[in-house]
Amino acid sequence: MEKIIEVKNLSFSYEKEKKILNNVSFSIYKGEYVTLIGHNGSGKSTLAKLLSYILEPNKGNIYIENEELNEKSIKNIRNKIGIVFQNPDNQFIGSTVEDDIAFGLENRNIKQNKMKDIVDEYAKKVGMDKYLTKTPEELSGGQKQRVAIAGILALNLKIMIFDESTSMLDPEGVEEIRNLILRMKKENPDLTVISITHDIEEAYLSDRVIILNEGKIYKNDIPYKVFSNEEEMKNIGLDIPFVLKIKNKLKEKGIILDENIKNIEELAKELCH
Amino acid sequence: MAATNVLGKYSPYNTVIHKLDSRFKLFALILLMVVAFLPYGNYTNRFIVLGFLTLIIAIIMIVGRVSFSSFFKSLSSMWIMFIFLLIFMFFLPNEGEYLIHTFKNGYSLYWDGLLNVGHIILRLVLMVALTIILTSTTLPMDITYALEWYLTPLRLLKFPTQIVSLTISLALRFIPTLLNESNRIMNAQKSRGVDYNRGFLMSKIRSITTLIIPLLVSCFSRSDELAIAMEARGYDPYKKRTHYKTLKFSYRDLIAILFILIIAGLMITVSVLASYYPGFDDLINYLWNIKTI
Amino acid sequence: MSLINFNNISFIYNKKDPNHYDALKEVSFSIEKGDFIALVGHTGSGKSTLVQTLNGLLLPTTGYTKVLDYYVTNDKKIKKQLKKEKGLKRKDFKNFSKLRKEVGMVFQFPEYQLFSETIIKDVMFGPKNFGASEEEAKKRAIEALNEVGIDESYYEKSPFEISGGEKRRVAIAGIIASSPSILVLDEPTVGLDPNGKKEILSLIKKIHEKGTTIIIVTHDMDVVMEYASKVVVLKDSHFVKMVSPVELFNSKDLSTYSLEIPSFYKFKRYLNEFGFNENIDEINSIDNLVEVISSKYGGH
Repeated sequence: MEKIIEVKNLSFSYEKEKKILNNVSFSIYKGEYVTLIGHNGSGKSTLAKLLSYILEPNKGNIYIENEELNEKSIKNIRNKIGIVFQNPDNQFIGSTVEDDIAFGLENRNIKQNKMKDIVDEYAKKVGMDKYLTKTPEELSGGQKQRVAIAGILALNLKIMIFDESTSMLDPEGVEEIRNLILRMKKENPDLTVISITHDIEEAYLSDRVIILNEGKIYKNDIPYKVFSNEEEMKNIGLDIPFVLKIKNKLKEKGIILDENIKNIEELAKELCH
Repeated sequence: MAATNVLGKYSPYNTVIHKLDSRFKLFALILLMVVAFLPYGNYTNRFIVLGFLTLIIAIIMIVGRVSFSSFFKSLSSMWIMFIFLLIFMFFLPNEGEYLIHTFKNGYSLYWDGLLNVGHIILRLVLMVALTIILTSTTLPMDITYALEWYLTPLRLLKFPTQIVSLTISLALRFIPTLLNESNRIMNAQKSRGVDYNRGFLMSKIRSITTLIIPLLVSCFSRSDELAIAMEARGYDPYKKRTHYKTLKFSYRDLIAILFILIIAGLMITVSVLASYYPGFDDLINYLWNIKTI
Repeated sequence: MSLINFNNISFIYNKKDPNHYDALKEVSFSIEKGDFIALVGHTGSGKSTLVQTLNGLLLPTTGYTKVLDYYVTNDKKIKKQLKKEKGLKRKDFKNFSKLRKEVGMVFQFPEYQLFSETIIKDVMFGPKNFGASEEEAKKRAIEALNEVGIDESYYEKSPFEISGGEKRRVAIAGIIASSPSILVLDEPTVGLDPNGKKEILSLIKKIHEKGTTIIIVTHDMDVVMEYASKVVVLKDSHFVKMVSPVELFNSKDLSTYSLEIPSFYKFKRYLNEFGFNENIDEINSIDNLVEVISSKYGGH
């Protein structure tokens, strides 16, 4: 598999204070859907800022397609990475849905006659085609995040980072975004998705989970293995996904279920055979 | 969700006025404002002309489905100014034919003075009305496109028109967001016992700081995040960008231009006649009298 | 007599505007002293509007909200009637200072209400507004800060230099410092990580145990399940029902309120749907359910 992001010996601290990230290394491969979890203070939001070059590392490097992330390369790398941020309001730049989706296209000098079609296409992909002329006040948080996603998809980038994009949404919005990410991945298997989140249910649906704890990588594996030890997770302030909780408890009773069962519906179906 | 009717809120209808080109609307706004502030000779003339303009503006407001209630709401914030004007009136060199009342302190009130203030207030009201017509029938983005179009010649002088127009558009875009925010902060402080309506100067200043400081803090963090989001989406202020929308002139705009030019032309003619031909006042009076007879 | 009584209240935003909108329609129910109420419903169902009538931030267009001895209303008929029957004065419908001392209100992102130079001053602000002396206010502020777990070394710090979670706790301290008898919280855990959430929720639980009546507006059904004594469901500006959390999640028509169902109850629903042959309707804990499943499959 082709490495698309490589993080090597990354450290970061604000002047003299305790290290927020301490010698972190990992790789992400093309087409992967990786979730990065950890409680507040684990260093995960700092890592997100480093990946999107809002902060610069004190030590170590980040490589995007073998190109080191630095002041010179950032302009080029912006054409590879898109970021969906946490606050839906503070990333809505255009005054209407269509203007906002077009913002990135305008920055990349796409011709006007092509732009309209692109905007329509991607608005449709995220299910916002009926809201093109709506202003941000008329939209829910989840809808605003979908617009932000459309704006990035429209640019045809290789990597998408979700920086706690669902933490300010209501459960409906969280569900919308969770499903949208899965659908997006299905439609475009080459798209690499990195999601920084507290949502363990989302993490369970991803290809790989990286857990940060006290500035270090604590786990880096497929979800099933990462969450297998409930006690261990609780010790670092994380819960485990519901389906796994049930499976673990059944395992104690000697009932072992298929590893591939990931959602509640499948679990119930399996138990009703 | 809360009511945020203020100067600058777009109301999404699809009227003729909404469909007009924003460049034209901006031009018409400025033209009519200028016209409203031209000299028209004596008070009879002024009120006839301004009355005519009021009528036209009222018609445009009805056609454009501009909310009258939000119009009156934004006027209510101008009360202080109106009162100030009324007080100021007493200190004007106040002379005239018709004395209404002489006060004990020596100041006297003349009919002319009242008319003078009245017509200044009417002009201000018209100005507010025109601005509200523009903002409630035109998307902020379209207003900025228009501004940018008018600023284009300045580009030759290395003036950053693109940056200026994007800044204005962002400011307009965030007005409703910040209004909601200040509403929320005020509710929180009211729940902690702040009363924004009562008290005199000092306690008023004190209660306003409970709103302003949190609002500023939130503005700074918002603008930080916004700048990061814009940069992440490839925005570079000094690079050329394409535009998603361009403005197109249609036959509708042509008719509207003719209409506005005729009105403005008429009023400018009246103004010129009134200023340079002393006999004009008498003529108007004469015509007025015929009509009233 | 009930502590709080919503009496047939309706609320219309922008009443005179063509695009006015009914946020509440004929809502009636009562809350007793010592209740821990969770107020749930989809976004825009009227939850936030309803709680804002509790301390007179919004006045019901018709009907009234009675809290302790206060009547909150903008209904002319009712005002007239109350003036006649109870001898209330005009100012009784306008001055909410005393009511606001009794009803503490924590809004979404309460950290945005901080404004003073120091944390202690900010927490003292409420009590002082409600008439406490400087000393009294300081004493209450220290108590409140203790309660939320902010220690003395923070008192003289600026509220703008502490972390997000700490800011939120300071803001909550600023409200409980006025020792309200009713505490209303609108989505107090939004934007927090699981640890931060737990901290705030156990704090609320502690406050409840001291005798404060709690009303919490939330989308988080796990919070409802774990903490609330009763749930009030609103839908499309209407009151639907007031039941216990278990009753709500076991009810057949749950899906029509567009609420998120906790994973456990979702699981039970699917089991029933796919024909799981045991009666599990009365089971309300994971361990008991696992017991039933494993005994069916012959586990040990």
